[in-house]
Amino acid sequence: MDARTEPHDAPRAKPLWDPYVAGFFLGLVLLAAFVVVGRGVGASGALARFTALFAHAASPGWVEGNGALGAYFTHGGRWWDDWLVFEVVGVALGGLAAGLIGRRSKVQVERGPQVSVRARIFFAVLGGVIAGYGARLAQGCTSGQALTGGATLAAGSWAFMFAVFGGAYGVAYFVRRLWT
Amino acid sequence: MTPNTEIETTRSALLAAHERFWGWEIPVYLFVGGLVAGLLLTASAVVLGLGKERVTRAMKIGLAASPVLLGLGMGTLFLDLTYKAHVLRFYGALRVSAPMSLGSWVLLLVFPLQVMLVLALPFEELAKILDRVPRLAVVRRFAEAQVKKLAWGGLGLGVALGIYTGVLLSTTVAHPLWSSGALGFLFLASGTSTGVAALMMGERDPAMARTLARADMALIGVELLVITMWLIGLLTQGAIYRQAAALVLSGPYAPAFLGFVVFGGLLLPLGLEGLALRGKALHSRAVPALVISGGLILRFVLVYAGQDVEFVTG
Repeated sequence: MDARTEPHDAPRAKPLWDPYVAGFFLGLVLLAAFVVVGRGVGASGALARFTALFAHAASPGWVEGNGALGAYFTHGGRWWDDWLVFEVVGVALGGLAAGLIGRRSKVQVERGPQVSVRARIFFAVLGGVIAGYGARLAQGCTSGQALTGGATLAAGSWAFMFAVFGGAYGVAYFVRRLWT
Repeated sequence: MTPNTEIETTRSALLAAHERFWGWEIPVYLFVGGLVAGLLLTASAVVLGLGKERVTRAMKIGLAASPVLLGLGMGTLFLDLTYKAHVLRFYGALRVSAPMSLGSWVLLLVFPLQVMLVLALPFEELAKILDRVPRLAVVRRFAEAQVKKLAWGGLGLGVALGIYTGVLLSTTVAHPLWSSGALGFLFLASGTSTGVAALMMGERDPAMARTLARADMALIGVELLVITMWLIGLLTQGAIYRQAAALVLSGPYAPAFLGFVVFGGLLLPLGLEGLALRGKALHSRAVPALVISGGLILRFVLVYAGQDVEFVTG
């Protein structure tokens, strides 16, 4: 994110949180989501709704007849009638606030020392497409399945979690040069 | 819809009840109108309060962009007209009691004032272009000599334009969500805030950036106060008013209103701007961008939700 700093305002980044402390608070966020809105957190469901929104603008008839996306518009439904849409926007706003208060906000592409920005963006998009496809197949992503489903001890979600970690360890060897 | 309804009543009469008559064009127009009012008010206030030398490049560019923005906004208004040819009728008569008629004339006055202010305060690149047009020299000298009077005009027309965008809704009496005198002041505060926020995004002078941030915080505070008064007004009237307020407090528009407007567009930027001014957070253009997004969503929520509840049912 773009950040303007003033001459007297030297950016000194605050230290990052301990990951275990951050994990504890993430658990509390999940608990709060169950208490306040009656369901857990997620991400890919919101992105699917954003996809439905843009696709609907381009071709409403096709989207309404589509099995996966059409359900969002049946019975007068609106693409944003889901708390996940607002949660995802809130995640972005919270990330912005944390970045600015922690003095870490700047425009950059996180990448390994040997990979170009273009290659990094290409592989990130490729990985995102594969992950998105997998999330739709599994009816949830690491947020919806692993965090929320895992917290409710759903067997399918635990199987998903092992599959995600197993798949990641299996593929990491082949793409290790992107980060080393 | 009867042909004259568009001019005389802003389609507000009970004749138009049960019709969902406004789409995306009106909220976009209301947003652009408020933004332009904010740009005009800020530049005028700086001329009068701090002197024309303190008008920064960002403000001059904002002023120069204003007529273009207003033209685009009026373009969306034109798209909304059911009878396109009736656009000429707005300027065939002045009906003081009709907000659409009055607003049309305010818009017509804003254009030349903006142009004169731009001629009086051109940014460097524009000044070079203007220098090549000798015929403009007389007009430019006049504008430069009258810059304070033009700024007073800018303040007056900026307030009129900002309030008018809210009055346009509040005089639409068939809809309880809009039936409040607070809307004019809400749209004025919101429009000015979005104008200041737009200038913050381009401001390079650190001292002026801080001044703008303080002004924006004050305007956000006023906006929150007026929103509270507007909602209290609705909740303490009859059942139909409470039903209208429920649309934005607990109904289908509540997540967008409370989440994106009140929290994301007002409280969060207010907190981040305050922390940045005290050196406890980085300055970022993303923060005024949130204010601008919140202003746009506010108008979409108000225009759409307002049409969902009417006084006449059945």
